[in-house]
Amino acid sequence: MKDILRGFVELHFKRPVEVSYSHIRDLLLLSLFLDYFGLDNPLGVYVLELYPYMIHEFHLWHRSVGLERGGLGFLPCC
Amino acid sequence: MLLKRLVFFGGKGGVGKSTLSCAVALRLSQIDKTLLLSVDPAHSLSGILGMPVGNHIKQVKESLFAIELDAQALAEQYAQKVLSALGELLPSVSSGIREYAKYLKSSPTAQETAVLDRLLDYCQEFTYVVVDSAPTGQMLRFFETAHMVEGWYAFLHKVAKERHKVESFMGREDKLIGLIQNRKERLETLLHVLREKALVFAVANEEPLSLQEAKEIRERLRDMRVYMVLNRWHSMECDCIKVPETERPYGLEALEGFRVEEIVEFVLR
Repeated sequence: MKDILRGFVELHFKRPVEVSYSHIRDLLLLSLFLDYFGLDNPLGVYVLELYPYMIHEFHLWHRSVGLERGGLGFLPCC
Repeated sequence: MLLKRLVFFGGKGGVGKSTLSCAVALRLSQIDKTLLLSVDPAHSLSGILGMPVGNHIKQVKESLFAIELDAQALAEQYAQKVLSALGELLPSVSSGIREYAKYLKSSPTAQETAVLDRLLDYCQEFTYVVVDSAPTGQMLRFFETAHMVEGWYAFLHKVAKERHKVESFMGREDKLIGLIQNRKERLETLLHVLREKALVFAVANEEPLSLQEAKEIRERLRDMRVYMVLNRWHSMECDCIKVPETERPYGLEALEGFRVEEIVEFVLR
């Protein structure tokens, strides 16, 4: 019963909040992966150390925008 | 932090900034532990000090140390270090990482980052750090990069903070904000050092082009303390520090005879 309740809260209250904030995730990923879009990212070197933590999110993200494969040679997530 | 003063020498090629850096570092080392650091890709410390220096810290005298930084090698090391964490997470990507690090090392921004990163380490270990800078354009870019990165990191931090709120609301762990915070703090320390403890000596000769470049340094680095130095001074009148010409100031003994008292005074002030 508890699980069902938790699932209900998750689905009906928490998820919509997350979805409504998805633009923040997009903005963050865009700033980190500018060169992925062929845009110049002269400061990309400063975020190199963040990539290991972003790889999973990056994978979900490129799938969500309709790209089957990540296509980053040095960051093969799928 | 041990550092009391971070001293930069800049100016047109051939005005004698490397020689001045060596002479000033030598004087400062009589007071406390000093590092003489060359970031000019065309290093000349070895020739001036009369001994091989190279890419590792070398003890020149009791409390004088010198190094000629190889920015390219540093950038490659930096990329390797950072990316090796990725390699540990996903062993399959390590060859890709090596490839990427090779490609990064020729990026000017990567090189500057690596040098700035290393400079901060040296500031913890030495009381005086004297930097023999690259020619003017590159030196100005160096300072501009540091400032540009600060703004960009502030933006990234803001976005990451918002995301952190969402993540913790969803009951998930978020490591990213901590990492960005660390990096941001390191940068802030560096910028603090540059603002509070750095002095820039813009070196020129009695010759219009080099004077013009020295003035340009002073104009472009408005928020830093910049002093004009006239090296190989004969008779010209100007409102700047004057260093008279010395015949063949090469080797440690000859450098001690170099008349840089006035510059040292500014550093100790």
